Amino acid sequence: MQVGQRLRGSAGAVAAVVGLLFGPLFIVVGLALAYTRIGWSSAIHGVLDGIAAAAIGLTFATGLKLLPSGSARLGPLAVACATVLCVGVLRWPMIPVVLCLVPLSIGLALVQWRNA
Amino acid sequence: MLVVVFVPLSLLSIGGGASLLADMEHQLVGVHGWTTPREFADLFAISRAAPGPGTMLAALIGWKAAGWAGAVVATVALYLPSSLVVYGAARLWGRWRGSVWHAAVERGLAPVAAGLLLPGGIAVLRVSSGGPAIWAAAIIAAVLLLRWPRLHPLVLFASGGALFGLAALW
Repeated sequence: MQVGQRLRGSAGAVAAVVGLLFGPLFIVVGLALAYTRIGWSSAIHGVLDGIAAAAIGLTFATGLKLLPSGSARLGPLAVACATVLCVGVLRWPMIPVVLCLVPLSIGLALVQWRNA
Repeated sequence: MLVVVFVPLSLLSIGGGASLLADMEHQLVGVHGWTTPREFADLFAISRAAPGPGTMLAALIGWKAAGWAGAVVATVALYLPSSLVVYGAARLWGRWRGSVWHAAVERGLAPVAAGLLLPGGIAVLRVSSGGPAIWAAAIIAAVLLLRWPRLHPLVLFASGGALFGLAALW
Protein backbone atom coordinates (compact mmCIF):
# COMPACT_ATOMS: atom_id res chain seq x y z
CA MET A 1 0.00 0.00 0.00
CA GLN A 2 2.80 2.39 0.83
CA VAL A 3 4.39 1.32 -2.43
CA GLY A 4 1.14 2.07 -4.28
CA GLN A 5 1.05 5.50 -2.69
CA ARG A 6 4.59 6.27 -3.65
CA LEU A 7 4.10 5.20 -7.25
CA ARG A 8 0.67 6.65 -8.05
CA GLY A 9 -0.53 8.78 -5.15
CA SER A 10 -3.93 8.21 -3.53
CA ALA A 11 -5.36 6.24 -6.46
CA GLY A 12 -2.37 3.92 -6.33
CA ALA A 13 -2.87 3.27 -2.64
CA VAL A 14 -6.57 2.46 -3.17
CA ALA A 15 -5.81 0.15 -6.10
CA ALA A 16 -3.13 -1.65 -4.09
CA VAL A 17 -5.54 -2.28 -1.22
CA VAL A 18 -8.42 -3.45 -3.43
CA GLY A 19 -6.17 -5.74 -5.46
CA LEU A 20 -4.49 -7.18 -2.41
CA LEU A 21 -7.74 -7.83 -0.58
CA PHE A 22 -10.32 -9.00 -3.04
CA GLY A 23 -8.24 -11.50 -4.97
CA PRO A 24 -7.35 -13.50 -1.86
CA LEU A 25 -10.89 -12.97 -0.55
CA PHE A 26 -12.31 -15.09 -3.37
CA ILE A 27 -9.69 -17.81 -2.93
CA VAL A 28 -10.09 -18.03 0.81
CA VAL A 29 -13.90 -18.09 0.77
CA GLY A 30 -13.74 -20.73 -1.95
CA LEU A 31 -11.54 -22.87 0.27
CA ALA A 32 -13.88 -22.35 3.20
CA LEU A 33 -16.81 -23.39 1.01
CA ALA A 34 -14.96 -26.60 0.19
CA TYR A 35 -14.25 -27.04 3.89
CA THR A 36 -17.93 -26.87 4.87
CA ARG A 37 -18.71 -29.48 2.19
CA ILE A 38 -16.01 -32.00 3.04
CA GLY A 39 -14.63 -30.68 6.32
CA TRP A 40 -15.95 -33.41 8.54
CA SER A 41 -13.41 -36.04 7.62
CA SER A 42 -10.83 -36.57 10.34
CA ALA A 43 -7.93 -36.37 7.85
CA ILE A 44 -8.92 -32.83 6.80
CA HIS A 45 -9.15 -31.82 10.45
CA GLY A 46 -5.70 -33.27 11.00
CA VAL A 47 -4.23 -31.34 8.08
CA LEU A 48 -5.83 -28.13 9.32
CA ASP A 49 -4.54 -28.74 12.85
CA GLY A 50 -1.03 -29.17 11.47
CA ILE A 51 -1.23 -25.98 9.45
CA ALA A 52 -2.65 -24.12 12.46
CA ALA A 53 0.23 -25.37 14.61
CA ALA A 54 2.81 -24.15 12.10
CA ALA A 55 1.04 -20.80 11.72
CA ILE A 56 0.91 -20.33 15.48
CA GLY A 57 4.61 -21.17 15.66
CA LEU A 58 5.18 -18.42 13.11
CA THR A 59 3.14 -16.03 15.27
CA PHE A 60 5.22 -16.87 18.35
CA ALA A 61 8.48 -16.46 16.43
CA THR A 62 7.35 -13.07 15.07
CA GLY A 63 6.49 -11.90 18.58
CA LEU A 64 9.82 -12.99 19.99
CA LYS A 65 11.70 -11.28 17.17
CA LEU A 66 9.91 -8.02 17.91
CA LEU A 67 11.32 -7.96 21.43
CA PRO A 68 14.06 -5.38 21.72
CA SER A 69 17.64 -6.44 21.88
CA GLY A 70 20.75 -4.61 23.00
CA SER A 71 21.00 -2.17 25.86
CA ALA A 72 18.09 -0.53 27.68
CA ARG A 73 15.70 -3.37 27.03
CA LEU A 74 14.34 -3.83 30.52
CA GLY A 75 11.56 -1.27 30.01
CA PRO A 76 10.29 -2.64 26.69
CA LEU A 77 10.45 -6.17 28.10
CA ALA A 78 8.30 -5.07 31.02
CA VAL A 79 5.78 -3.55 28.60
CA ALA A 80 5.67 -6.77 26.57
CA CYS A 81 5.15 -8.82 29.75
CA ALA A 82 2.41 -6.46 30.93
CA THR A 83 0.66 -6.87 27.57
CA VAL A 84 0.84 -10.66 27.79
CA LEU A 85 -0.44 -10.53 31.36
CA CYS A 86 -3.41 -8.23 30.64
CA VAL A 87 -4.56 -9.77 27.36
CA GLY A 88 -3.45 -13.37 27.73
CA VAL A 89 -3.73 -14.17 31.42
CA LEU A 90 -6.31 -11.75 32.79
CA ARG A 91 -8.20 -11.81 29.46
CA TRP A 92 -8.93 -8.10 29.60
CA PRO A 93 -10.33 -6.59 26.41
CA MET A 94 -7.47 -5.75 24.09
CA ILE A 95 -8.53 -2.28 23.05
CA PRO A 96 -8.29 -0.43 26.40
CA VAL A 97 -5.12 -2.37 27.24
CA VAL A 98 -3.43 -1.26 24.03
CA LEU A 99 -4.67 2.32 24.44
CA CYS A 100 -3.04 2.45 27.89
CA LEU A 101 0.19 0.63 27.12
CA VAL A 102 1.10 2.18 23.76
CA PRO A 103 1.40 5.78 25.05
CA LEU A 104 3.27 4.45 28.09
CA SER A 105 5.64 2.52 25.87
CA ILE A 106 6.25 5.45 23.52
CA GLY A 107 6.87 7.71 26.51
CA LEU A 108 9.36 5.20 27.85
CA ALA A 109 11.19 5.15 24.53
CA LEU A 110 11.31 8.97 24.56
CA VAL A 111 12.74 9.02 28.09
CA GLN A 112 15.36 6.43 27.19
CA TRP A 113 16.24 8.46 24.13
CA ARG A 114 16.80 11.58 26.19
CA ASN A 115 18.94 9.74 28.74
CA ALA A 116 21.03 7.99 26.12
CA MET B 1 -22.62 -6.13 14.00
CA LEU B 2 -19.63 -7.22 11.96
CA VAL B 3 -18.64 -3.58 11.57
CA VAL B 4 -18.96 -2.92 15.30
CA VAL B 5 -16.59 -5.79 16.09
CA PHE B 6 -14.00 -5.31 13.38
CA VAL B 7 -13.59 -1.53 13.08
CA PRO B 8 -12.11 -1.02 16.58
CA LEU B 9 -9.86 -4.03 16.09
CA SER B 10 -8.70 -2.60 12.80
CA LEU B 11 -7.35 0.52 14.41
CA LEU B 12 -5.28 -1.55 16.80
CA SER B 13 -3.80 -4.02 14.38
CA ILE B 14 -0.24 -3.05 15.14
CA GLY B 15 2.28 -5.63 14.18
CA GLY B 16 0.00 -7.27 11.65
CA GLY B 17 -3.27 -9.07 12.02
CA ALA B 18 -2.01 -11.88 14.23
CA SER B 19 -1.95 -9.50 17.20
CA LEU B 20 -5.75 -9.39 16.96
CA LEU B 21 -6.28 -13.12 17.37
CA ALA B 22 -6.78 -13.09 21.13
CA ASP B 23 -9.57 -10.56 20.98
CA MET B 24 -11.10 -11.97 17.81
CA GLU B 25 -11.35 -15.41 19.37
CA HIS B 26 -12.91 -13.98 22.50
CA GLN B 27 -15.51 -11.88 20.68
CA LEU B 28 -16.39 -14.17 17.80
CA VAL B 29 -16.53 -17.48 19.62
CA GLY B 30 -17.30 -16.36 23.15
CA VAL B 31 -19.46 -13.26 22.89
CA HIS B 32 -21.24 -13.53 19.55
CA GLY B 33 -21.09 -17.25 18.86
CA TRP B 34 -20.56 -16.73 15.13
CA THR B 35 -18.37 -19.82 14.93
CA THR B 36 -17.75 -22.83 17.13
CA PRO B 37 -14.26 -23.11 18.65
CA ARG B 38 -13.51 -25.98 16.28
CA GLU B 39 -14.49 -23.91 13.24
CA PHE B 40 -12.48 -20.94 14.45
CA ALA B 41 -9.32 -23.04 14.61
CA ASP B 42 -9.98 -24.60 11.20
CA LEU B 43 -10.81 -21.29 9.54
CA PHE B 44 -7.64 -19.85 11.06
CA ALA B 45 -5.65 -22.62 9.38
CA ILE B 46 -7.40 -22.06 6.03
CA SER B 47 -6.82 -18.32 6.17
CA ARG B 48 -3.12 -18.81 6.90
CA ALA B 49 -2.54 -21.45 4.26
CA ALA B 50 -4.19 -19.42 1.48
CA PRO B 51 -2.36 -16.56 -0.23
CA GLY B 52 -3.05 -13.02 0.90
CA PRO B 53 -2.91 -11.11 4.16
CA GLY B 54 -3.11 -13.14 7.36
CA THR B 55 -6.28 -11.49 8.57
CA MET B 56 -8.33 -13.12 5.82
CA LEU B 57 -9.71 -14.91 8.87
CA ALA B 58 -12.00 -11.91 9.32
CA ALA B 59 -13.44 -12.45 5.85
CA LEU B 60 -14.13 -16.09 6.65
CA ILE B 61 -15.90 -15.25 9.91
CA GLY B 62 -17.96 -12.63 8.08
CA TRP B 63 -18.81 -15.20 5.44
CA LYS B 64 -19.86 -17.72 8.08
CA ALA B 65 -22.06 -15.12 9.75
CA ALA B 66 -23.66 -13.48 6.73
CA GLY B 67 -22.55 -15.01 3.44
CA TRP B 68 -20.64 -13.16 0.72
CA ALA B 69 -21.88 -9.78 1.86
CA GLY B 70 -20.55 -10.58 5.33
CA ALA B 71 -17.16 -11.51 3.89
CA VAL B 72 -16.89 -8.17 2.08
CA VAL B 73 -18.19 -6.15 5.03
CA ALA B 74 -15.80 -7.79 7.50
CA THR B 75 -12.84 -7.33 5.16
CA VAL B 76 -13.58 -3.67 4.56
CA ALA B 77 -14.32 -3.04 8.24
CA LEU B 78 -11.02 -4.58 9.25
CA TYR B 79 -8.87 -3.05 6.55
CA LEU B 80 -10.25 0.37 5.73
CA PRO B 81 -9.69 2.10 9.10
CA SER B 82 -6.20 0.75 9.62
CA SER B 83 -5.38 1.42 5.96
CA LEU B 84 -6.37 5.05 6.39
CA VAL B 85 -4.18 5.27 9.48
CA VAL B 86 -1.25 3.71 7.66
CA TYR B 87 -1.84 6.05 4.73
CA GLY B 88 -1.84 9.09 7.01
CA ALA B 89 1.14 7.77 8.93
CA ALA B 90 3.08 7.12 5.74
CA ARG B 91 2.65 10.77 4.74
CA LEU B 92 3.59 12.05 8.20
CA TRP B 93 6.45 9.58 8.43
CA GLY B 94 8.12 11.11 5.41
CA ARG B 95 8.07 14.49 7.12
CA TRP B 96 9.18 13.14 10.48
CA ARG B 97 11.86 10.80 9.23
CA GLY B 98 14.87 10.94 11.49
CA SER B 99 13.07 12.83 14.24
CA VAL B 100 13.00 11.60 17.83
CA TRP B 101 9.25 10.99 17.60
CA HIS B 102 9.64 8.71 14.64
CA ALA B 103 12.04 6.45 16.47
CA ALA B 104 10.11 6.60 19.75
CA VAL B 105 6.79 5.57 18.16
CA GLU B 106 8.44 2.68 16.36
CA ARG B 107 10.28 1.51 19.42
CA GLY B 108 7.22 2.02 21.60
CA LEU B 109 4.88 -0.02 19.42
CA ALA B 110 7.15 -3.04 19.06
CA PRO B 111 6.95 -4.45 22.62
CA VAL B 112 3.16 -4.04 22.75
CA ALA B 113 2.82 -5.84 19.42
CA ALA B 114 5.14 -8.57 20.69
CA GLY B 115 3.03 -8.89 23.82
CA LEU B 116 -0.15 -9.31 21.77
CA LEU B 117 1.19 -12.07 19.53
CA LEU B 118 1.79 -14.60 22.28
CA PRO B 119 -1.78 -14.53 23.70
CA GLY B 120 -3.07 -14.52 20.10
CA GLY B 121 -1.33 -17.80 19.36
CA ILE B 122 -2.38 -19.29 22.66
CA ALA B 123 -6.02 -18.31 22.05
CA VAL B 124 -6.05 -20.35 18.85
CA LEU B 125 -4.24 -23.27 20.48
CA ARG B 126 -6.81 -23.28 23.23
CA VAL B 127 -9.82 -23.57 20.89
CA SER B 128 -8.20 -26.15 18.62
CA SER B 129 -8.97 -29.75 19.44
CA GLY B 130 -5.51 -31.03 18.63
CA GLY B 131 -4.47 -31.57 22.24
CA PRO B 132 -0.87 -31.57 23.47
CA ALA B 133 0.48 -32.56 20.04
CA ILE B 134 -0.57 -29.26 18.46
CA TRP B 135 0.97 -27.24 21.33
CA ALA B 136 4.22 -29.16 20.89
CA ALA B 137 4.14 -28.69 17.12
CA ALA B 138 3.59 -24.95 17.46
CA ILE B 139 6.55 -24.62 19.83
CA ILE B 140 8.77 -26.70 17.56
CA ALA B 141 7.76 -24.57 14.57
CA ALA B 142 8.60 -21.39 16.51
CA VAL B 143 12.00 -22.76 17.53
CA LEU B 144 12.78 -23.81 13.95
CA LEU B 145 11.86 -20.36 12.65
CA LEU B 146 13.97 -18.59 15.26
CA ARG B 147 16.91 -20.90 14.62
CA TRP B 148 16.66 -20.69 10.81
CA PRO B 149 14.94 -17.38 10.01
CA ARG B 150 15.15 -17.98 6.26
CA LEU B 151 13.02 -21.11 6.48
CA HIS B 152 9.92 -20.46 4.36
CA PRO B 153 6.69 -20.60 6.41
CA LEU B 154 4.93 -22.50 3.63
CA VAL B 155 7.39 -25.38 4.10
CA LEU B 156 6.36 -25.54 7.74
CA PHE B 157 2.66 -25.27 6.90
CA ALA B 158 2.94 -28.11 4.40
CA SER B 159 4.92 -30.43 6.67
CA GLY B 160 2.69 -29.66 9.66
CA GLY B 161 -0.42 -30.37 7.60
CA ALA B 162 1.03 -33.60 6.16
CA LEU B 163 2.18 -34.82 9.57
CA PHE B 164 -1.11 -34.22 11.36
CA GLY B 165 -3.15 -35.42 8.37
CA LEU B 166 -1.30 -38.75 8.36
CA ALA B 167 -1.58 -39.03 12.14
CA ALA B 168 -5.34 -38.54 11.90
CA LEU B 169 -5.64 -41.31 9.31
CA TRP B 170 -3.90 -43.72 11.57
